Amino acid sequence: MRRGIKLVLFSMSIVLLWGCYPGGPDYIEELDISLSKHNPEYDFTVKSTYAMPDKIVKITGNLVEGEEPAFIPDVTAQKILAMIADNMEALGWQRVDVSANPDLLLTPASWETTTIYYWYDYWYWWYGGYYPGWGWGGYYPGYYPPVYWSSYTTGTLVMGLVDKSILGANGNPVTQWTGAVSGIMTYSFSESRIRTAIDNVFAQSPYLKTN
Amino acid sequence: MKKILIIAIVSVLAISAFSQSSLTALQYSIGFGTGDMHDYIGKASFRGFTVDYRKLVQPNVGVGVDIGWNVFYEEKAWDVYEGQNNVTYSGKQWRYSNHFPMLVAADYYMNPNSEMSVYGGLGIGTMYTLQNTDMGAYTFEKDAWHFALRPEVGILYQPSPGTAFTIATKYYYGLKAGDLPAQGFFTINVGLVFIN
Repeated sequence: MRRGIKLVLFSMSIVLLWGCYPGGPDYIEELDISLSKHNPEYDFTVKSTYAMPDKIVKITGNLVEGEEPAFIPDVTAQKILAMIADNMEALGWQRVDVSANPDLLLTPASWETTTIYYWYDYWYWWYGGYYPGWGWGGYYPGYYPPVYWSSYTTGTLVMGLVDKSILGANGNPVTQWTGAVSGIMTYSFSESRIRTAIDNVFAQSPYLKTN
Repeated sequence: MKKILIIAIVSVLAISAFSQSSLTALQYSIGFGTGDMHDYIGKASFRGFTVDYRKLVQPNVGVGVDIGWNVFYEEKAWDVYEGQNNVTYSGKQWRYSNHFPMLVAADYYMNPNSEMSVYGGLGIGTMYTLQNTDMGAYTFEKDAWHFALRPEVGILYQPSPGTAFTIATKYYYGLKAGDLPAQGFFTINVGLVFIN
């Protein structure tokens, strides 16, 4: 009898403690992150001009030779490119046409990654708290105990600053700075979220400031 | 290390076969990180428990095993972090540190036959640590098996035969292992003790 009481108390303790396992983010924008990487040997301060295309490539996989790349919609691209240009200007850079022999080329690109995952009913509550912005979900039939599925799509924008006069071992220009922003996508484009993330990338890269 | 643990566990089991009585304590545990552990998560943990078992090999000496779980958690405000290879990243972080001590232990009871008894003890064994740093949709995970020590002092209050209450403070210290630095934390434990 006493052993039974001990077992019940022990089991209840485990369930109670596991049930209050600490949670994660409450809002989807809390999952937005900005990342930058630079070559510390490269002196950005002596450069002053850059060129940037007026489209943003959407990376969807390896291109077959002769195939045109995909681009993100113009309306969205123009807003993002303007945010990038604003930050570059604030750091003292002058945007010029690619034909004007700029010091650096800024190469924006984006991609989306959709992660599909499955979970059992008894841990549903935990992932439900962790991925507040998932797109869709449902019941996956044929399994017992019930198996559910859902997904979330991560959008990433990558910006590279390339000095075409410095070539790597493979003969391609070396990227001297890379900035990236990543977040979980929702159905609508959030200008404020992406502006904040892009501003953060440049704010955390003060060495980009030109003289 | 594994050999020492196996020998210790077998010894405890052998001793228990000849013992007269035993104590089983179920304890709720509050943790406070120290050193590198505190640098990683500064907040106290209010999620933890231990199960302690002692065979009394003498009226005032108990030997046995401890197992437990303490999870520390902290939500870090948005910040900029410097990584390796000139990488800088910014965002919010959610940090989790799970600790699972598994120890063989011995306690000495000052007044074993009285209603209130102060005791002190030492545990030795291993502690598994699992740390997750969540940022964006990503998690950075580290884990390690530490060689661990655990001194403890406590009070046992036995108002009636067979059942007692305990309050104790313990200090867990896991030596540096794998990718993780030394992990140390104090705990304050309160619990129920079943005495056979």
